[in-house]
Amino acid sequence: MSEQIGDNGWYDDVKIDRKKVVLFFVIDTSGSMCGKKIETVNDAMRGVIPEVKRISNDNVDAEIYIAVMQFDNSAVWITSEPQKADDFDWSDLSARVYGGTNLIDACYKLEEKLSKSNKNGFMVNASASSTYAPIIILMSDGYPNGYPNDKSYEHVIDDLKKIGWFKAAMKAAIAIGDDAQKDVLSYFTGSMETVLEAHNPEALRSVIQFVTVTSTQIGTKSSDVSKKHVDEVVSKQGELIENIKNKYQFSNDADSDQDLW
Amino acid sequence: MAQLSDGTKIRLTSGDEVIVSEHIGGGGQGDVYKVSLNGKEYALKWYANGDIISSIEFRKNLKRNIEAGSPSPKFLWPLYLTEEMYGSYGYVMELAPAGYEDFSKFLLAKVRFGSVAACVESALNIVEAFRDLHGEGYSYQDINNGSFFIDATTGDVRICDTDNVAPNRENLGVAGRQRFMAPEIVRNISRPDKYSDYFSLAVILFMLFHIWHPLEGRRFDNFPCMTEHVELKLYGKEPLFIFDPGIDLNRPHDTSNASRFWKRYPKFFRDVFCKAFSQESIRIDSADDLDRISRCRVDENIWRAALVNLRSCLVKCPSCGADVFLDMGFGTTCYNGKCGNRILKTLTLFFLGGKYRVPVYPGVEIRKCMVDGTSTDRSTVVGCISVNPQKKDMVGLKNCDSKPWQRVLNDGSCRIIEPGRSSQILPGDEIRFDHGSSCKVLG
Repeated sequence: MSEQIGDNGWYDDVKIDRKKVVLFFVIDTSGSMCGKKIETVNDAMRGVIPEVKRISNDNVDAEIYIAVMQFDNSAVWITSEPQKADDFDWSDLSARVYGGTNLIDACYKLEEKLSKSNKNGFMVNASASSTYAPIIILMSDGYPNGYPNDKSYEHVIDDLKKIGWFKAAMKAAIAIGDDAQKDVLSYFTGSMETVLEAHNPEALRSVIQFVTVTSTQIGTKSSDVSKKHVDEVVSKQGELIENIKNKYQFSNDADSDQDLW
Repeated sequence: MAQLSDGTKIRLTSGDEVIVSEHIGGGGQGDVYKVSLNGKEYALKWYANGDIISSIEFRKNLKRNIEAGSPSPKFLWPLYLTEEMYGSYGYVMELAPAGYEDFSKFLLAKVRFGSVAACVESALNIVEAFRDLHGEGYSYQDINNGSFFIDATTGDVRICDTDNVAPNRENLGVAGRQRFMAPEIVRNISRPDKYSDYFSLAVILFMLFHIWHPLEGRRFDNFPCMTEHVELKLYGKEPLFIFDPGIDLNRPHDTSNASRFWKRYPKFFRDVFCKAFSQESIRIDSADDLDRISRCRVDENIWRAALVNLRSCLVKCPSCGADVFLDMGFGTTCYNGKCGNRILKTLTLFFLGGKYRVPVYPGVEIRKCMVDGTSTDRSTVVGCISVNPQKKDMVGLKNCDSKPWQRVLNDGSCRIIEPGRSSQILPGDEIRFDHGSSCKVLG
């Protein structure tokens, strides 16, 4: 039949069932973030969200959802549930003057939403049919309340690490300025290599852009095939580390180590 | 590696120079730019991946491919190699023609085929391009949803990312993504080759026709989330076709695109997918199984014949006008829920020993490759199923060829079907063509 004009409804009601990837931003809004730092975070986030939307829209494998938490004296979810990247607009965060750095509460609240048993969790009804592992990006310029004497944050992170979703997540952290405790952040991400430093607004903007884009690109696709050993997997976290190394191969820092806030 | 800025001049090894005008894409290996060369626009792929940039073998292979030329005009093949500049290098190729859309957009339903026939035509074009590539002794190695640009109206295709193409069994480092690679590659039991291309090609064809992945069914619900390890298990260690006829553990949900489309295709076509994704063809536990899977994989010749036959089955529902694939050897129900018209089983023409099959249904065309075993011409129409203008319920075969055909009846008597004339056909008849080819009419 040579004349076939129009699909006659063949493609009507086609469903696009993409996997969901939740991109978590956990952001320190303690007193020390006031001023230039939080302004830069807000500015960088507004800049990178359109890029995340584009990645989500063009991606056959997965669709990105965004969840945002801020923490100072306590932790608060800005998004009551993960929002489709396409529907998400960045709302500027404010740092709390004299506010503390309650990383412990941030971890508790994160654990609560990642827990499978919590009916109000962010990952209920998730399965391999519908979900890729989440991406968690932590940003902080300081250290947890009580640090360094009080290491109770480690116990809370240890508990978090027992949660399957956290274990499977791709994790990165951004250490903002000289006072950020990289050892605390690396305890959260699992390695020092996934903690990026930013010592000035320009570097912070660049690092937020890089980590967000790179982690979403890796986290929203089927993983690469190993070229080394039989039945070995190429870890997405490892791929993120490789990308960080490639980007910042000449320095351990993402920028000069001079604080310019 | 910083992106090239507009206006950057890049020297080619040929001595010419291209000027970058626009960044048009990027991926794991590098970025793609629109460039101009002697007043014409091309695409420049510029590498950002350190492993590729430092690989002498990769560059050598690229040079070899440029010298050899493209095995098919459907490939956006490397045309010119660049000099090494700014710590990298790249190659120049044709741009995808205007209006050709990334296959990913079809999978995201942002673009849809202008007709079901265009979808079949695109599959034929893809299959023939890979047949030509493999015929030249190459393997593509990384077939995935980003490899194709398709004209939604005509089904014409262009295949990109051809820089990993290498002589079969030679691998220059590419390993691909688990979702599209053959289980033996996912498990790293062997390196990408022609046979793993066959698997990936079948995945792409399944996705083209179903907008769904052939291994992604209910079994995926058993895992809390898709991780690298779950991918290894489901795409590598324990792959299971969602419509495996013998194992129903991985059926898709009833509302999925897979379930919706699968039943619209004729059984013979579904059977090819069942063979392509049979356990014999995809289950691999050790290198000892490589020989078996290489024998069981469905190659382009099988796909091509199946697709030509599928095209022959595409008719309009006489009741509602919807596109319907006649299920040869069976009756067919119009997929349109509001119609549900039942089209009765028709006679079938078996050409060349059954390689090509055509339903005896008004308007269906006979192509040159069907009546001439030496021809691969699937476009030229040499005949069609016609209706007797005096007796509307009598269908026959019309000879649109330049030479007479001979109809041999059950009783051994012969009728000549002259060019331009039609003859009634009945079960048991044999039609003899030039070159000693023939077809049988079966009930």
